Amino acid sequence: MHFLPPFHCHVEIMTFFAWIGRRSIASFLYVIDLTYFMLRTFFIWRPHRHVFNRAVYSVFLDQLILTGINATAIISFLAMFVGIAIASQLVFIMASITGANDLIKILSRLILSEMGPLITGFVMIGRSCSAIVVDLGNSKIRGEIASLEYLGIDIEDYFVLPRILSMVISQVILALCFSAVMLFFGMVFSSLIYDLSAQKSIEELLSLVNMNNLFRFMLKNCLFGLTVGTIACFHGLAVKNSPTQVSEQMQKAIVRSIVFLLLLDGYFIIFTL
Amino acid sequence: MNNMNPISISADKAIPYTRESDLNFPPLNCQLQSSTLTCLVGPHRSQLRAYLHMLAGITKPERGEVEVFGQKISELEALAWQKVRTQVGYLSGTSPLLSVEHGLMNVMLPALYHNHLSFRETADKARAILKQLKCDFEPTRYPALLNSFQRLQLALARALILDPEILFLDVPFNDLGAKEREKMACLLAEYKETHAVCMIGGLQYVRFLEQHATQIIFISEFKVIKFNSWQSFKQADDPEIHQLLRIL
Repeated sequence: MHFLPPFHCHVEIMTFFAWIGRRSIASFLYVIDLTYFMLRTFFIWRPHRHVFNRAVYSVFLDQLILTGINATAIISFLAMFVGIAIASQLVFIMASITGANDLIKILSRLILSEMGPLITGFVMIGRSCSAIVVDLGNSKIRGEIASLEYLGIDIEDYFVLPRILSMVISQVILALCFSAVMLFFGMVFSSLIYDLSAQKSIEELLSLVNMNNLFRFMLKNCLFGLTVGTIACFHGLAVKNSPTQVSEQMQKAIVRSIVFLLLLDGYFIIFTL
Repeated sequence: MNNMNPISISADKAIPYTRESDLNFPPLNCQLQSSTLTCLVGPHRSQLRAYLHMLAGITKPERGEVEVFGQKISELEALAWQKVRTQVGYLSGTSPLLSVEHGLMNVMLPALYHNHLSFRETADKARAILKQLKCDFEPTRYPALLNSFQRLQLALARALILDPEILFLDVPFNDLGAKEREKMACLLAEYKETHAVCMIGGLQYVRFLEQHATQIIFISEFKVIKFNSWQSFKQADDPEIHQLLRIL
């Protein structure tokens, strides 16, 4: 067997730690860049800025239709199937393990706090985050963004702000829609198969929803939308001049959005247990 | 050149800021006045574009000073810079319109962003400009469905909707056929009667310079030479100019 001499082992270990160090610094700098990018976008609202700037408002409405309204059908469809496939399974498993007493409580926690926001977040990443990166990246390569900048149009104001805001609003509404449809179909399907009253379960579930839960749900979804929207715009505008950079940035945006989404979710789990 | 015309832009020993160029940039002294057409010519397009961006106030000079309507570009803050941009029109023959918006919306965009006019008023203004520019097509079509001349007409309308005092043209005859060049030259000549125009890419349509240029600035790596007409530029006794004219 061939063994590396101690000196070589030492060098390889050091190289590994150096790599970890470099990656950690790069990740830290990325978070700082992203935060700065987001803050710069929101600080566009200075006293001179008309709140409902017509050009920006028009982009905002377009984006709201693309990101939110157009996704309602697919989200509802997905929620229906997830409700039937997963919620009914959960009902069965939990009913057999814990009994009916804790069932509604666990369901509300799992579906309203976790599955609804997370699955909606993943759909938003796959559907809208990638679309924003491609849209902004291609516009930048073709020089469409620079020529508007030369006419005094602020890039953060016109391109970034409406996209982030529409992402936040869409995430909140779609997550709400997803959770409601999923619970409804899950309960109805469960009531058909198991000995469970759907009406009673849904009533019990609704009684568990209070202001605190609702606030947490809204805050979580707002942060999800804000994060995914910011990452999408950041990577879209990071494209410089080559078409290959569009796919490269799209990949980065999708992977990093998923990582940030799970980190944020983890944060909420820790602080709401 | 008529020295009584108000000066819109002046450069004093100005050298553009360039990050990724190996070229040498000599200092430029010039003035751009209304009712004049200034054309920057030279062997390097990237160099000319850097000077054009500097004169248009898009980039700050690395050395020297550029004044746009009496304001020093190097001292402008973000808000003042944005205001200057509304007074300086910029048309690029290579940078297209925003592909996700239709033609009319592209034209309306700067006015919707900077002015507080209603949507209807802005649309009326945009349609009036398009009529002036003899646009005979439906402006609500998307840029991808229009030909290069129609797209350029829309881009010109977009540059003019804020009523700029001066218009910068970055290769305006790029991608145009002979007849379309002539049409575009007529539109630009009409605008030049009352406003200042500064351009690069004029050598793509020399006839336009012959008829309308009041200042030709030759810029190469080591010299800047000014001429007051195309004729004097053509007769210049400079080997670099001869070489440039030979390859035209």
